[in-house]
Amino acid sequence: MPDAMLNCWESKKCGREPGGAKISELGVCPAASEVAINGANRGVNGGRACWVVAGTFCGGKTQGTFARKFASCLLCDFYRRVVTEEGAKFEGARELRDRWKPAAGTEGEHHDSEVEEMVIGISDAFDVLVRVAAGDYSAKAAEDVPNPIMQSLARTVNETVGRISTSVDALQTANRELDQKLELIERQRMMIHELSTPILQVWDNVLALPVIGVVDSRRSAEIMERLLTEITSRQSRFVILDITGVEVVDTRTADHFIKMVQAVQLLGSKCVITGIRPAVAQTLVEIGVDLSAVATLRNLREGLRECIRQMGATALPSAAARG
Amino acid sequence: MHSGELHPQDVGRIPIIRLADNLVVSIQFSLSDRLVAQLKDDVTHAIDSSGALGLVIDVSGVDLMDSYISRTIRDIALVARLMGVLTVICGVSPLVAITLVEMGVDLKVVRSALNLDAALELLQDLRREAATRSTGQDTSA
Repeated sequence: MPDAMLNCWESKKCGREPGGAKISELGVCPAASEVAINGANRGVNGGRACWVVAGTFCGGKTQGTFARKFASCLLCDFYRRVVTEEGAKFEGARELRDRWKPAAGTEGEHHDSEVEEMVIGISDAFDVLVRVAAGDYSAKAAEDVPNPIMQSLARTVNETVGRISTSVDALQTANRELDQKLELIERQRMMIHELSTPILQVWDNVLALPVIGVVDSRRSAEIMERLLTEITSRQSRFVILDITGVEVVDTRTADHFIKMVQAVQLLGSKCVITGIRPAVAQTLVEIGVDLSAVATLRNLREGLRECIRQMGATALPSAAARG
Repeated sequence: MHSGELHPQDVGRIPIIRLADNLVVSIQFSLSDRLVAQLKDDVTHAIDSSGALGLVIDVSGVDLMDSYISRTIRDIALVARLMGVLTVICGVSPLVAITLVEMGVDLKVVRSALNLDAALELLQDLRREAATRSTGQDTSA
């Protein structure tokens, strides 16, 4: 990350760093020349702690002391960026206090340690909130401060962050579990998909396709494609389409089966349907599906017996008769 | 017994091969409408001049068949039947089969076989069966 350690003038492009474009008219900014806090948050001089430097030139005007300008700094992108980038190693107003305090006094303003303490406390709380906003829940505001109000503030902020962190953790755990379950479902779906349409070679030149479950148009298209490819590659002369495992057959399912049989016959193989359940047979008759174009036999055994019988006679008399 | 019939050297035509009592047309490239129409003409004349008993159309090289081409193949089979010749199509690829079924193309008049071997065998069986049927009808009549 080459731009991880950007200094404020590189981010704000104010031109007031040493050698900058505007130093002739505006002079060098205190943030760029404040050697006392050099290295703070891995920056050059005050480059990454500019919000504690009094008299910086930011947003087109010269800023006051820390207490005065901090309100606008809290909403500054650069401040938030440094807090997020440094994380637990962030050096806030409290950590830098001893180093920048003398500089703050040079402004000649009334120095009130009570006010300063409160501002540092609030700044502490803000640092924590900025890190929480960036998704870092490990941030803690210092609680061992002399000012009781700031103590309460720090404690409340820490408590709240702790609670948010717990619930976020719980949510993330739940999310992970959900993801794992979805993955499992997807894996099982693939497994079912693969298991549901095995094509077996039950005899020389005889393929059997046990169909189990619901046959929708998508599945029937898949089955048909696999079956036809298998027939072509094995040059099988007979196919037994066993639908013992199909509990429900409607007109569309029946249509899929008829198309499958037709396609198999187009390749030049014979196709018989076996294992039509009593309930299915009744339904087919009731809804008026015409399966007369398709040879049907009671079960897989009968189907295989018929195939072998037809192979035994070199001729294919029944096949010829149907033509 | 392989002998070319009808301008085998002509690139613009599909060769029709005489094999024993049958005519074999092997289509090993994608068909154009003009080629199929030409084929219909050529096959009809070949049947007339050769006295063949069966016709095999091998489409193992065809990976795309539209309704016009499949209809023309059906027409060839119908014409052949009128002239006393049975037609068997072989080498239909899975994709072509699915397309034809989905299009609802009626190819019932054409019998199918898995390969050229099976097609010739099937033609022989069909002829034998036709012979027994006609003799059976004769005895019953």
